[in-house]
Amino acid sequence: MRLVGAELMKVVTAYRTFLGIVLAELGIVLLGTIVTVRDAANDPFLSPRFERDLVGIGATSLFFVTLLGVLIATTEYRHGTITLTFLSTPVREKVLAAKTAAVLIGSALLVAPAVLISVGIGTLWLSDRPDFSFGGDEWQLVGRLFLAAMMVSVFGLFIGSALKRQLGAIILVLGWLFFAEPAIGGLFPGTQDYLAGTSVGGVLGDDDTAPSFWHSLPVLTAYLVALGVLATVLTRRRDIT
Amino acid sequence: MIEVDHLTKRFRKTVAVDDLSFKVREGAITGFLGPNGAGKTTTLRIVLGLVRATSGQALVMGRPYRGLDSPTRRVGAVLEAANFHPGRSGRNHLRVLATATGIPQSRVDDVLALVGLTDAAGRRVGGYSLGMRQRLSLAGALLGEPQVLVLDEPANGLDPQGIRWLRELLRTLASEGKTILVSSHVLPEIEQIADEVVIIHRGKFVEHATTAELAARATGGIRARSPQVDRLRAALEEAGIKVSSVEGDLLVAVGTTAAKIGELAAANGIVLHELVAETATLEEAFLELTT
Repeated sequence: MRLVGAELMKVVTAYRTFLGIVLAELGIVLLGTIVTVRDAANDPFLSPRFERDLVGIGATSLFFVTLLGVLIATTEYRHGTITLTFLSTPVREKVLAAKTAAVLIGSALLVAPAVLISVGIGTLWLSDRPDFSFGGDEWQLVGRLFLAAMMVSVFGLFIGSALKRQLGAIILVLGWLFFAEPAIGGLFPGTQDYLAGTSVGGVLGDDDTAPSFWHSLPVLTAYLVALGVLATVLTRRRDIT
Repeated sequence: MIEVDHLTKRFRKTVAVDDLSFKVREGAITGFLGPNGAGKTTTLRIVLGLVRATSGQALVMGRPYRGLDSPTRRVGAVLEAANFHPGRSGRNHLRVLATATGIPQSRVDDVLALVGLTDAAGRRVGGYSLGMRQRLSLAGALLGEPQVLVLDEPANGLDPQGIRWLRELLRTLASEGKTILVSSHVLPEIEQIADEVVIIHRGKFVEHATTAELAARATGGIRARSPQVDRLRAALEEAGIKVSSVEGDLLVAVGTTAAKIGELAAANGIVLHELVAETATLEEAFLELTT
């Protein structure tokens, strides 16, 4: 537990970058929520998907939690503090495990206010509309959003740990999810359901064209296990010069 | 206490450390010397488990560093002054280390006071001078009150007062029975504080001796000034003493003592104006061994 505490303390005590991430995330979610809810309020009938779309606005935070994962892994290499981290905890797997736990906590803490803003504003604004109903199905989507956020943050952490270079890791994650996977899916349609980005959509469940939750969850888990093994092996073997 | 046993480290085609072996005695200050690129930092990082040896092993207290229980309570290390997040304050830097190792937070203020950084503890490290960063590194090394200290160029960035402070701190720590392995380019400093020195060159072991032994072995010779320098030279050479140089009325003889030259001069009726035994410094001994 003390290693997880130390990892969280690293974030809190060098907060500028992370504060920037939080403010950017909440600003985008706030703006998206206001635009979506205002448009809906002007419509005589709410779209049947409106409540799901409201939760979907919170999914914007997935980009930021991925970034959080990459930064928690690579900031230490960038500033050389990884030397002191490995001196105090020479069994490097323990450091990686502590960072994973810290990223899971951090991602939940980033998603919670995003959901609070999108669902909270939507509910308050439209509470007097008889066609607005936020119930069990929507709360299940909120739960899936938290799960997806935790998984992609660990995805970012493992890539950051494997690469160690901050810019390289960010470019790789974005390039992978936004360029490589769509290209692979387009060229080889049969692979679509087994791509990481598609599986994130399946875990989220806000896209009707995505594969099912129970198909996507093991696929995404397999990606994390593979990346986790790679990150562990490279972290163990790496010379800190 | 620290044992380096047939250690070799290759970085692709470069051999940074080549079959290096030495032991650091418990309770002593051992200087670790070598020219730039000799492999000192790589060796220290292998000792501390940060770099993997290609072959051989390094043990601290009989175990590899990775196998130590609570390593920062046993070994404190100063490696370089750049291991800080510039946005974190000095105090928070130490608080993170204390949290990770289970050291009470109260110890943070103790070590800040010890290194003279109490007033600057709340400032971001990005605004620290090189000397302040070095002091903060030392504070981190001392946080766990370790028995062994491994210091890589700890005087880097320190001003003359800082160097004097460091010297006194290391002496105090040594008097408490701590084992200290310190690498440095500032040889006069090492000469003043080290009990022993290990010298390496191009990754290979060169010498391990006490500081006094090393300086004595590299003694510079006897300087004699005489208006009858030619006669003195002849007398010395006749007695089998090697004369290394003659310049004007000055002669330098090696492999002998001032007393012997004085006696020879008296026996031959040679007037001497000056007779001085030149003492070699650690720096001269070091240069002799590594060039």
